[in-house]
Amino acid sequence: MMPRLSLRFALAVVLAYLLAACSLSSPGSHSASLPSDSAPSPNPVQAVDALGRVVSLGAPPRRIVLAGKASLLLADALYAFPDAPQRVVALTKGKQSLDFLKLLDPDVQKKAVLAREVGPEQIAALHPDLVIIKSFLYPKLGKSLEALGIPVFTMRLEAPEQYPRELRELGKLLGEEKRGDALADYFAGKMDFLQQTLDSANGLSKPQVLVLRSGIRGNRGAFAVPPKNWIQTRMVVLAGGRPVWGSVQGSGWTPIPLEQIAAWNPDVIFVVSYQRPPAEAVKKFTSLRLASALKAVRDDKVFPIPADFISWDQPDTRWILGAQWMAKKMHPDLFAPLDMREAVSEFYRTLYGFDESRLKAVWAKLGW
Amino acid sequence: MKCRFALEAHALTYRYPKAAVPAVLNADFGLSRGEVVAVLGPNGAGKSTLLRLLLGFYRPQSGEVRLCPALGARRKAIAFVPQREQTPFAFRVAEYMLLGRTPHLGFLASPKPEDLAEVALTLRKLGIEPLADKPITALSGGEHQLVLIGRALVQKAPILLLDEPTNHLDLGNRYRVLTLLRSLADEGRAVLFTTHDPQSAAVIADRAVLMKEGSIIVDAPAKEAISEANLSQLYGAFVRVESVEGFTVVLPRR
Amino acid sequence: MVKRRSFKWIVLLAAVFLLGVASLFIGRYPSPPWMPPRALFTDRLALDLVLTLRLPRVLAALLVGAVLGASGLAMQMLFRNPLVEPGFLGVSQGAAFGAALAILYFASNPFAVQASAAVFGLAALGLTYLFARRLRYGGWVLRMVLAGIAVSALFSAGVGLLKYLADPLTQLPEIVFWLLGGLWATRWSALLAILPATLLGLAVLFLARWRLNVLVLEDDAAFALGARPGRERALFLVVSVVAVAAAVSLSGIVAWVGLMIPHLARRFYGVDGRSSLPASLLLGGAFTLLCDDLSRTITVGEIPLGIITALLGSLAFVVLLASEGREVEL
Repeated sequence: MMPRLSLRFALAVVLAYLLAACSLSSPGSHSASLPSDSAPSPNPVQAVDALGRVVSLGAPPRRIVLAGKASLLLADALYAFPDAPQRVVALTKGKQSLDFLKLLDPDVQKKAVLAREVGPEQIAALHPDLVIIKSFLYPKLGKSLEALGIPVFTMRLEAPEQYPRELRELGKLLGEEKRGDALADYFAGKMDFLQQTLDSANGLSKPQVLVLRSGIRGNRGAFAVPPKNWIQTRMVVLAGGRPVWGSVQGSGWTPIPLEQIAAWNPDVIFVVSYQRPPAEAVKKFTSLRLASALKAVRDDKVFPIPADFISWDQPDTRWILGAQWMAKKMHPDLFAPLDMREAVSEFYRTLYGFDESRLKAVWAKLGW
Repeated sequence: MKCRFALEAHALTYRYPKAAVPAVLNADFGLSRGEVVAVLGPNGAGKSTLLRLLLGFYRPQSGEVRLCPALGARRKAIAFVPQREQTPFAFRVAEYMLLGRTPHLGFLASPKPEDLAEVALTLRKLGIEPLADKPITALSGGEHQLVLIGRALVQKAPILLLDEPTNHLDLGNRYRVLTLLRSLADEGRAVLFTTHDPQSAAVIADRAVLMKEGSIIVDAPAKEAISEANLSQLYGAFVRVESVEGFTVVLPRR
Repeated sequence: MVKRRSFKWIVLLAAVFLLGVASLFIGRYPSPPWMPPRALFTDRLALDLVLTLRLPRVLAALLVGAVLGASGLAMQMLFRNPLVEPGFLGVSQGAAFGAALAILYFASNPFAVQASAAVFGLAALGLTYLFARRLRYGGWVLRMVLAGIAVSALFSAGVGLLKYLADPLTQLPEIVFWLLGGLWATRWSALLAILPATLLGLAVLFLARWRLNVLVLEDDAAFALGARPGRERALFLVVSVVAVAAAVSLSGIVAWVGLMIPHLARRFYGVDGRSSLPASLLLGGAFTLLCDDLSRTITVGEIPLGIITALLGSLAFVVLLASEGREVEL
């Protein structure tokens, strides 16, 4: 016969577990800094992350882990700081290739060990003294890590205005305030430059712009537009254009029927493609029968968005190049003095310390 | 307080939802302890409906069913034996019969040792002790019926209502069950069973209630009720009723 | 005879307890597959890990599994059908819809997700019932099944719509992960939030283990034994659904546990609810815990729990059915 006390017994066991746990656990009570294995820098650091949380460390981090979905693109920002290769111990694999990071950190392949669905245990096993995650992962992964006493710093870097602010804060956290300021100033400076140039032209007509992506998974033949709040849309506005797809609902790349494109009939079309060379995608688009009726096609204003290691429309440091390039394409006269080759050189020099020989790899990728 | 009847029906009328005509119309009769009553009639006469009305499972649109208050709560006073039961779960016979003790348990209670003892007693009384651990899905028709009756007995209710208990039994089992019902009544229970077979009724019933198309057309002592005239009216068939060595025998008319 | 029966229970309880304790040391820290117990005393991080992450997760797996097992058995008896599971009757899809809604519009607040899942799970059940009443085809079990299929489809479409509206970077993966089931984000607060509904549900179902036997009978026979079949069925169904909704609000949809475990329990502990219900409870907890251990240990990333339970559960189910000695009427 089933022992009558079984339910009570089970409840007692559970209660015992709970009491033991509550009395023993004290989340995050031990100090946030773990022994570092290089030259001591005893200055405590503090910064505000993308969610407004104040993160304090006893010393600048020496064992950083970039964890979780979409964190790979954050690496490009992190590696703009000195010592990044020495500080980063692990990355999460993403859709993008590691070719660029390999140039900055030869060991990056070995560091890209984490899966996108990584759990807190795997991260803890690396003994990090700082984990950087995308802000949307904070409620689950972030809190779990904090419960283990591991400091967590969230970042977004998805919209233009976030770059100056977050880079400055990241610099503070790494103990590289000056560097952080320099990077922030670079981005803010370029954004101001675009804004001021556009403001200076009286009665400037802003073209209607469409950004199309081809080759989305599951729908190879279709062309899709990005959501309103993504960086592509912001770039177009910043560069002095008017995005036409504001009325589209959907929160990912949304396929658009050709009739809709014809109805919009934009002045300029930027085409992006991640799997194939963008120029191919442009050809695929312009060769469509319906396309020949479009203003942008007739005026020869269908442009592939450039891509070196990463396409210039991604929420990555390169968006600033994409914005400048778009401005030049949309307002060639106004931005005549802007030399894209010079802009690219300046970008790689300022952010990553590239010299002429290294830049060769960039020109090769761009095909310029 | 002594009641005249253990269970009685007054002017019972019941119509199924959305049905055109009532299944039971103006039923009036009573059941006493110590007697066997057979409710006889063709298929569709309303016998099963009447049974469920007496059980209290259906609520009549008019009329009432009265249970003698001295017998206590309905669930402890009336035991019900359905015609056949199919479950997808292979309970063991002893567990299945133990279900009959439920009326004596609280809502969320489980059976106690005295309940198990009651089942053991009944298994012995019915002579089916060897079946105790057999799954009910592995029983023969006759064994199944005995187990169902056993479940009703375990309930220790003074009133027994059975729905076509011998319908699908072979000859030997049929008489076995009928004899058991007779002995149960002789022990002081009130036994009512429905059947469409007049012979079964004739064998053990004290009284017979004949139903046709929802109405009771005859309610009389068995020997009177089971007559040629009544049966012909009931079944529209021509029959003979003979008495052989004191037993009533129903035969087709040549 | 009595000795042998208690022995079976002792073995089961001991197995569950041992598995629970062992699970605290299974994982990828400091390296897979497991951590030496000594580490608890030497490595502060290990101790924190076990107390703040693994312990609530182990308890959650046991709890969710117990709820799914017990509810599965209860529903199979309430519906007199051994192919029923808690996600039946649209409850699963309704809860999924509710959870997705909370993920989208309430920023995945755990309490909101749980409440929303429970509300929509019950709503789906209610809709199925109302719809079944209007059908004119077959017995009430068949009607409930048909209505359940329709309601499931309705909420499934709703989930599809929410997936379309979800941000593919932040919300959609969460919805998908929820639909596949996973316990990796379990913390004490989340576990404590679901304790009332789940423990209450388990307690009620445990107490009702005899009553469920009675409700397996046809309604007239159950009535004769003193039950109020309609009301009692509804009561236990609601209790089951609320407990299941609370459990899946934490774990996401974990399939096959509620379907397979009752069969396993009945095979080894008998059909009688008095033993099959507690057995389902314990076996469900143990099975889910085992699957969760695997989900966080086998690969670098977390495999959704529902995938492992589906794999192992369906396998076990096929084996159980194939080795059934006698025929079962459905």
